[in-house]
Amino acid sequence: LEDYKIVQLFWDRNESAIPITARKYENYCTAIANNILQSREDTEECVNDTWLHAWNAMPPHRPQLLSAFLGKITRNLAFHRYQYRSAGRRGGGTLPAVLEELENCISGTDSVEQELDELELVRAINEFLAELTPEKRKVFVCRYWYADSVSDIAARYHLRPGTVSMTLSRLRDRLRDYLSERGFAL
Amino acid sequence: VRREELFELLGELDEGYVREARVSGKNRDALIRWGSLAACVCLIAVSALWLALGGNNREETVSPTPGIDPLPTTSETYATLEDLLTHLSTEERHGTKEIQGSSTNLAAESQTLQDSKTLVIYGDYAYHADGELVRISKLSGDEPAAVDILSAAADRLLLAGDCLVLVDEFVSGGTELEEEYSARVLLYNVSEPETPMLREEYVQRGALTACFLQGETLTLLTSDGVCACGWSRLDDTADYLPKLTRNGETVLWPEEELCVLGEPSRVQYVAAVQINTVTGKVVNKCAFYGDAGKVYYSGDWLALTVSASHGPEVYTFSSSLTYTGKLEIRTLLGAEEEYLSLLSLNQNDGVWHVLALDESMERTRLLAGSCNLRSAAVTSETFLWGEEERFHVDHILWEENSAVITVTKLILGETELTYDTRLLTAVFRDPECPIEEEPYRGERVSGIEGIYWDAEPFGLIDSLIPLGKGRYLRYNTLPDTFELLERTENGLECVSAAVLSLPEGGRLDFSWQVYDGTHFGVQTITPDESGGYGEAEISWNVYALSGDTAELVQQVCLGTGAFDVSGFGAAEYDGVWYCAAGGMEVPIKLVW
Repeated sequence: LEDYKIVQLFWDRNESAIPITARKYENYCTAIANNILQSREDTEECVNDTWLHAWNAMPPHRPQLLSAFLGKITRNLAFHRYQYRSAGRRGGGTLPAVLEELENCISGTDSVEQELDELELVRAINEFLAELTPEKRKVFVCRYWYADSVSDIAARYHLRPGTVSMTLSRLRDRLRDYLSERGFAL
Repeated sequence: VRREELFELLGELDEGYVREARVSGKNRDALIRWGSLAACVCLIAVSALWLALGGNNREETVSPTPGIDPLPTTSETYATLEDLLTHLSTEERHGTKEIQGSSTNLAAESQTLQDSKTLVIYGDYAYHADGELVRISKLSGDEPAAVDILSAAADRLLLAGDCLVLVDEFVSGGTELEEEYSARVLLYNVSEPETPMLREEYVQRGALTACFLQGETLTLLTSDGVCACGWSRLDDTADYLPKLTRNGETVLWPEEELCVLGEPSRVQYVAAVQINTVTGKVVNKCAFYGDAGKVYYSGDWLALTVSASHGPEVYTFSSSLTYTGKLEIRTLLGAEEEYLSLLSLNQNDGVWHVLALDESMERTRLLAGSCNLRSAAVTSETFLWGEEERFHVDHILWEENSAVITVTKLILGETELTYDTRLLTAVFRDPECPIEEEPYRGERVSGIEGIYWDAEPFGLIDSLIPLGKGRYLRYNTLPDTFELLERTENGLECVSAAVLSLPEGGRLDFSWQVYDGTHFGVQTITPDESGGYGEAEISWNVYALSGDTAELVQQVCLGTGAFDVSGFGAAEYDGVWYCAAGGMEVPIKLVW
């Protein structure tokens, strides 16, 4: 079923929307959650919660890209669950490495204006991504949005793991400089 | 901002980018392919229009400059790179292609860079390439101790004396269609192993094709495809030269060190540079322009295959990158450490010839002169299974009355391959699947595949008999052996094998040992009336070993013990652990 029809089912409050969505996007959302949680049980719960959140969000929301919309819900749910679960201990899987890498982009200090700047910050990062080649952008998004492992990214794009690592490293450096030049003191 | 907050913020990225990373452009090759196709279509249209409007004719544009041959230029059409660019600026097909180095003929394998070569040992120290770092560990003591880290990325490592070589390939820029790759070579002095000192840094544009050591000379091969048409990322003719820097300083690449091979249809080159790891200086370099397909090399020679209208050509070079000659061949079969083996076709009588070339690229012998080989017998093929698994039979040579089969590359999943110098016996895939017709051509047949070659006559010589429940009987005529194969968690495994003699009359009963959890026994399969084995029944037999000269060792179970039985006695084995538990004299004739 096409995405716009699925969205319409949500808007029509047709309960078949959930099983249809699950059938189409379960694998996609499961992969996202599992990258973050590395737990089958947690992943299943997280994905099931995704359908519920989607039900509550539509209406009023009418996503243009249903996959990304659902993926974002899953990502948020999974990350919150990860934070709750791993409070006080170090988790396994890819995410700790991803977070560690992101630390290279930040100073670690809180800013008073931080909340005000978040929207602008996201916009700036999107602009940064727009300037990249699609190849590099995909590598970046796979790592820092999907939390894919370096080896998975390498396999997906037929690159060497070392090349992926190097590309990510340079992208982080470029992002930090890019944001810094625009006044974002992370 | 904490890192967790940044991760959450990244969740708000443009949804288009999020989808793009999962949906579109799954691989770069596809992108290039389709981009190239689109560009080609545009180019063809523009060219057609240009010609229709009475544009210049090709001969005037592309004819070589007579009398100018500053190089060991091997092209009969283009004397200089400029000639080539002039022609290709209007004629080139857009697109790039990386040239892969051969992995089959590495002269000094232990010192040759392979994908997996990310660890080298120097005295008591190990250097391990790990992403963007090279970790240094001290091996003495009970446990390796990490002592230091080099902040340098390396895909591969090499060691020449006390010179540690880091080789890295990275994307350094370029457009969407033509990402610009570069290879970097870092030379470190590790005479003080814990504190390596960087001596030299070389960066050469192009995808890393190969890098290997011969003595103290490091050879780096990169390949680059640079479009000369309007889509090119390059503006200046000079940009089409290889780009090499040493410690940030550009190393000039003069015209004398260029070589045009054949009649290239695009600007594509292999740039070879040789660096003395002791002095850190470049000792030789040469760039080979042409439609190269593959590079073969050893410490003593380098060969490039180039596609031509009449078939592939092989251009050969010495260890110092000096042009040594061109070979006309029909098919390049492969290369070994000591020689290249080439297949040529005699156009007059259609007879295949297999040639062997030694290290100096001289033809040394005619492996198959007038042999009229079946096409299936001489080939270099890659067999694919699904998307992931494949194996490659790199070359098969025919020498007088015997075939030489060499499998040089093997990437297997749940498959098995056995081979020797005379016989490639079989390759299997999921044996749970039923066998269908013609399973003997290496084609996928319901999940099971077999390839069976023999020396003479060439062709099918083996039999594979399905016995049901994941069990197969494989019979090989050379040597006369049978094997019982069973599906296990680890794939298809041989659980029993024996050497047989073919009885007079030609019909052969297959027998194999079985163990049903309590007893050892023998099962036999007998051919049916037509001599086939496909549907033959399986029956339990009481096994008898008789005769004064019986040599076949058989295992039997008597009571709780298992015995290896021969004509001379029996060794007792524990029925559970199969370890020797004693021995006894047994009658010559034993019936169970």
